[in-house]
Amino acid sequence: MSSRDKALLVALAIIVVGVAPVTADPAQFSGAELVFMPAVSDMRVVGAIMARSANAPTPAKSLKDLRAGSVFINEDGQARIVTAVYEDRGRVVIETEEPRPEYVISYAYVPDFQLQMTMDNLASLAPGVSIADSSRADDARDLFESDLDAATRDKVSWITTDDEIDDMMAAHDDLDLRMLRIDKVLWSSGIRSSDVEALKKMQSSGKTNGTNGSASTPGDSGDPMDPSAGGGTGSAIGEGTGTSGSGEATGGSLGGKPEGSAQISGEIRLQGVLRYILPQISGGFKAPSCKVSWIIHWWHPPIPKFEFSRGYARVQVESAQQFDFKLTGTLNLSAEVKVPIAMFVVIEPHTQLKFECGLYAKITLDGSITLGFEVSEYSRSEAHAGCDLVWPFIPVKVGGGQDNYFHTAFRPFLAASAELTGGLYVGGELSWSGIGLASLEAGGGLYVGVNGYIEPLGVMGYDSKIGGYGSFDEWIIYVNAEAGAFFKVTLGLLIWSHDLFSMRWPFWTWANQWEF
Amino acid sequence: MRHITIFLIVALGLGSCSLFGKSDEGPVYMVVDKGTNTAISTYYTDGSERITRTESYDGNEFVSRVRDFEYDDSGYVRAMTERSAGGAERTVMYTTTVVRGESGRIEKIVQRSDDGEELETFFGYDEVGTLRGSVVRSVGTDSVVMKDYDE
Repeated sequence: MSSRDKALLVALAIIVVGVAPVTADPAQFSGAELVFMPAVSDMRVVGAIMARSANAPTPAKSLKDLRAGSVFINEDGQARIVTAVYEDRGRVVIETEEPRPEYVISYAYVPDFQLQMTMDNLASLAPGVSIADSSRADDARDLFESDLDAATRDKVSWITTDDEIDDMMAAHDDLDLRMLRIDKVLWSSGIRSSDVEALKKMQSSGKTNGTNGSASTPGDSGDPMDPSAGGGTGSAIGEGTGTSGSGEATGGSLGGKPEGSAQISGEIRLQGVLRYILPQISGGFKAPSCKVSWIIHWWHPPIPKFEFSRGYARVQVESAQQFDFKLTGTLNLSAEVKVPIAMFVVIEPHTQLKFECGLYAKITLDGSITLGFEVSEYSRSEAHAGCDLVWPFIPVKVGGGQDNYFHTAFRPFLAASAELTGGLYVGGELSWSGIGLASLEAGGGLYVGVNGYIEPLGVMGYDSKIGGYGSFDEWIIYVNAEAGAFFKVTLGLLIWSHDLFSMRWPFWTWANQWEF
Repeated sequence: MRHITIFLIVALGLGSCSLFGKSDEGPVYMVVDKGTNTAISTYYTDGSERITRTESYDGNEFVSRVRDFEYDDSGYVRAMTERSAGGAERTVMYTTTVVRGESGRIEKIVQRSDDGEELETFFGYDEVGTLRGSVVRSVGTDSVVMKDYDE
């Protein structure tokens, strides 16, 4: 055993014998015996050792008799030794610290015990973490004792669906297994643009190049692209032709300003499942003791006789857990260009309510790129320590051991998808001060989408029994593309949007993969 | 004016001596940890120095648990209401039975609670009748806590 292990075990033993707060409530340990030192005052209100008054027990308790050096058990069952007593703002402040165990107990015995942690011992759960269904069984040893075989080791056991979790739970029905689901967005941010500055620049540059006609004078309205003021795309098209009069013919209620919007958002997300067996703790404790008796003979004065008996402390902790998780960073891009063809607008100036309807073309681009890591981590540990205790509380023959197994494997992946759609729509939107209240649109057109991913064919990992293993020498690229026609009807209310009807008719699909 | 001054002084003196009526509130004791200078618990007492309320604090000095106690006429706990930081509240009622020996000394006290816990406290006396030790036994688990009193 190395000196580091010895130090660890000594520390563990010392914790067991009492550097940790001495708790006076042995109720959860059946058959425990605890003898307080005579000077200890038990200040618990219920179930406490009673005080003595006039040679009789009394339920009355008072903290007024506590002085520096007094040892007492507080309401939480913890032993404290008083270091000072003083008044502060109308309260009596009793300054305390943890006493050494020999100041508190003259004898302690905890028979061998075994504790199985339960969900009642669960103190808190982090946001984004939920408890999965659990199964309980008598034999919870499998996960304790099994190292991973080669087939399992080479697989990142990322669980993707609730069904798979349920299947796994059913397969381990004999284990006292618990599960925590974790789905937590660690970071997210987004930028939204309702106007595309590039379009304005394009339009203004078109005018300065002198390609515009002048049938519809831009100065007639504050915004030449405002269809409600008689401007708009139709006018711009007419102007672009250079033919006098053609702008007037298509101006007015026809056409409108192209509207562009784009949104970029990103997030880092942690999704995973933590499976664990509730820790099992076993141990025992007996405090050392010293008994004094007197040897009395007629030929000499009484001689004290000291009889020492050794105590012991031992503890064993077993646990096992597996954490499969996926850490992903995703960047989403969505852009939309809406080109009004024939729009009708009604604006109520007082309330700033605006209703707009008409025929328009819309081009959308949705894409995402995700970089992620899939990680599977499994560990099983058993640690035990024990020592003999010599009076008063000196640990000797400290020994122990540990049996740990640790395995982790991971693989990265990069996935991307993009879809471009273009079509004609009819629709209307009610808005207030630029905020969309309700909208309905129906339309169809063409789409083309592509998605793919690249990932290694194997995993890399570390196993405490065999060391590092695996490589990323071989990779696979998979690409899938599709083109077709679509038609959909979409209802929008404030920020909520829902496709009432959506249908796609693909006429071209293509998929391929390359390994290298 | 002189008489009024004397009357006020006497009234204040009597008031401070609680002769106008016994106050229901006694001293408040706050137990603090010397190392971290944080409060561990606070004990509220009544005029008889009986503990009527305890507050326990977590490591950040937030109240983690409050217990209120009521006593019967003999001074034994009759009810304990416990509230935890999470909002859970429970009230436990206690009944105490005192068993006396032929000499009239208390030999055993049985405390039962309505949540099923039962504690027996045995008392031992020496030959001159001095209480020398007590043993609290949890009936359910057979665990015991003992103490020898100072001579």
